[in-house]
Amino acid sequence: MAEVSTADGLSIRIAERDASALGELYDALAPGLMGLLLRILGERSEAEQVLDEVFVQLWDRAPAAGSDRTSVTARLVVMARAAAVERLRAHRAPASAAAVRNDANLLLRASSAWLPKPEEITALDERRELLKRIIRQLSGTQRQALELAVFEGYTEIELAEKLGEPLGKVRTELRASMRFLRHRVRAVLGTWSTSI
Amino acid sequence: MVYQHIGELYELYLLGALDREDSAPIQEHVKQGCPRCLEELREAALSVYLLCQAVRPVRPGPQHKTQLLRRLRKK
Repeated sequence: MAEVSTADGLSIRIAERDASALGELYDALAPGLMGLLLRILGERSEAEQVLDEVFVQLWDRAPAAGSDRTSVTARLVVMARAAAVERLRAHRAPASAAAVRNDANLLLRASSAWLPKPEEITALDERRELLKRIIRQLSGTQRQALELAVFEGYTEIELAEKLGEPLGKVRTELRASMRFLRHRVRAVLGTWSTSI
Repeated sequence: MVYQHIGELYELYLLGALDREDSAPIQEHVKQGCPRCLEELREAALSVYLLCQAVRPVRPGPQHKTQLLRRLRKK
């Protein structure tokens, strides 16, 4: 999924209620989002429902978000994943559906200042192949745990139960994978900082 | 939870993979709006974005876009 070079322009037009701008954004981003949603939900019709939801949300929130300098691609990816995982969790444990939460969604409702900037997403997309190789450097068990967390919405506690491993071990592995990934992204994007 | 420890958990926080014990202090801390946290969250969001890209693109059904735009124009 490539960051559209005119994303900022499209966002401004979308904020001004220009539906054709949303159509252009859809053409550029819907296949990537649909791939993500289908990977999480497994069902085409349900994936399309969530795809609908995220574009409608983007449309509804556009007047407020139009002036911020964050990536619309990143916003849609975060929203789509969060919505799909919420559904998946509700399917998995219907009795506790009311307790299903998604921190990213809660955070997005409060503020979007933490979303990446368009140029950061462009830089990441330009180095996509290199970054894919970085993910492949993780061990098989680390990748499995990451995939379950990203695409199936498992929490650390649920992962430990599912994998039949001690919680401490799962936490250590998962957090180490994330540190590895963060440091590699920093290196690839050239954003090493003194806080490392 | 000390700040440095929280900073290491932002990716898992954004993925909703933390239990309440770990996510609640992050939520509280983030509410304070410290600029360093925003930077760390932004970095974490880049990793989350990258992980979400490990999928094959799929075209939605041919009618999907038309129906979506029709729905939006009625709003």
